[in-house]
Amino acid sequence: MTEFEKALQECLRDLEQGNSNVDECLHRYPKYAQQLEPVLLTSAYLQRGREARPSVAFKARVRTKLIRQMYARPRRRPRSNFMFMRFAGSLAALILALLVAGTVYAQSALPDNAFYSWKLASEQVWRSVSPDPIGTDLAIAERRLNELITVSNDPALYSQALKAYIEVTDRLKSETSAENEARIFSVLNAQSQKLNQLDILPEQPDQGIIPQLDEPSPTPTPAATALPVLKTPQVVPTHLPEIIPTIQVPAPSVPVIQDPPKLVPTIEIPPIP
Amino acid sequence: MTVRTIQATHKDSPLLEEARFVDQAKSGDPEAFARLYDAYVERVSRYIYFRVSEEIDTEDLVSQVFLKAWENLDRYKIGSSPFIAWLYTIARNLVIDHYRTKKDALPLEEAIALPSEMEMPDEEAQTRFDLEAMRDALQFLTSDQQQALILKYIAGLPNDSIAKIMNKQEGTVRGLQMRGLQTLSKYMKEKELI
Repeated sequence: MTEFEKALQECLRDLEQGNSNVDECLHRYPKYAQQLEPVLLTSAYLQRGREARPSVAFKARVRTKLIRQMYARPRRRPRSNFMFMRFAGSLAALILALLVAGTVYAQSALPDNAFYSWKLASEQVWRSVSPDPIGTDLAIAERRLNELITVSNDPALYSQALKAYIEVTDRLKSETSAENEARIFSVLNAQSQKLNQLDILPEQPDQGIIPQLDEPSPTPTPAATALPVLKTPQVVPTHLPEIIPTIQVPAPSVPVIQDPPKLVPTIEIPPIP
Repeated sequence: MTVRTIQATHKDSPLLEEARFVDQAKSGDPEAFARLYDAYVERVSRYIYFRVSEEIDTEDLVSQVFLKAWENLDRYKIGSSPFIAWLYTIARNLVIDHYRTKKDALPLEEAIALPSEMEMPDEEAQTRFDLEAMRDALQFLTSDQQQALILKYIAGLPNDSIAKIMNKQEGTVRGLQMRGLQTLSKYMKEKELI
């Protein structure tokens, strides 16, 4: 910005604020007075434009026209943002409340319940946000175990619950960290013992319900060494059934000599107690 | 009245309870909007008078400004800027659109009464002459210079508001005003208006 422009700007500002008039400005900058004068007079002249006013008739005509158009195009009545926001807020709160209540209720759902899949979904969310996924999986395994115990009298649900439990234990077994392995083993071992005590073992023990960790913990704990013992039928030789063959001899009522029938011994096996 | 004695003390008074009227108008009340019209019609008409050439239908443009404002009131946020600044923005855009389409219109003199009815007849004639000369002189400026000067000296807005209306930096607006004044002063000196 040149010196003249600075002087002009300052004078214009002073005139605008009423701090000075044209003559005072010219007196302050005698060097630029000749250049400044017409510009400052022009700025003052322009302010006379505020004296221009529309006629009364003009204002009345435009007003009438405007009011007619406003009534022809009415604004939408207060379907205000406030009401909409209030409705949206209430709806969101209701949905949130239902979501929370449903999730809480679902936590006690069993495999035959409609909320069971909701429970599983909420557990997935829990796993994804948990800072300790192994701990979460162990807790989930405990839940599956409890479900298994609860539905042990219903064969259909039992197999479903068993499948779910195996899924969790498989996931845990895939954990390779030595530290976690020991932790997982101790929990699953305790669960296995619990199953043994309650006598609700799976029908096929070789399905892998008992955790079979590929590698034992490098620093096995006493609990970890106590491998679960499965109940197996005790076969005592003294309980073996006696096998007594019976020979049936046909009555010699006909004098015709026939070949004697082949004697086939039948073995009757008494039911296992 | 000489040019040298004019001070920047002439200001249009703000509308009291503007926010309340705007709020009621937003709710669909035409009477509340009519109050806004009464308060600002002079300023909007003045802006359009100096912005357009004499072959323009001012009446139509002024009513269009207010009708557009009525239809788009939802876009105006109370308190974000003065309502009149928003009206000037609408007026500015309409004038630009108008120049693009160039319609036939009534002469401005039929719409704008110059000057106020309080003045004496000889003063009235002089003022009318001055204002018409001013409007003619403004036509020699670029569109941006015109706007920057009209909004500053005739509408009496501060430069920050003008910058918002024109969507330009404040420094740019100051530059437009200085260059516009210099160009205008040469013209007015030639015509012996100053």
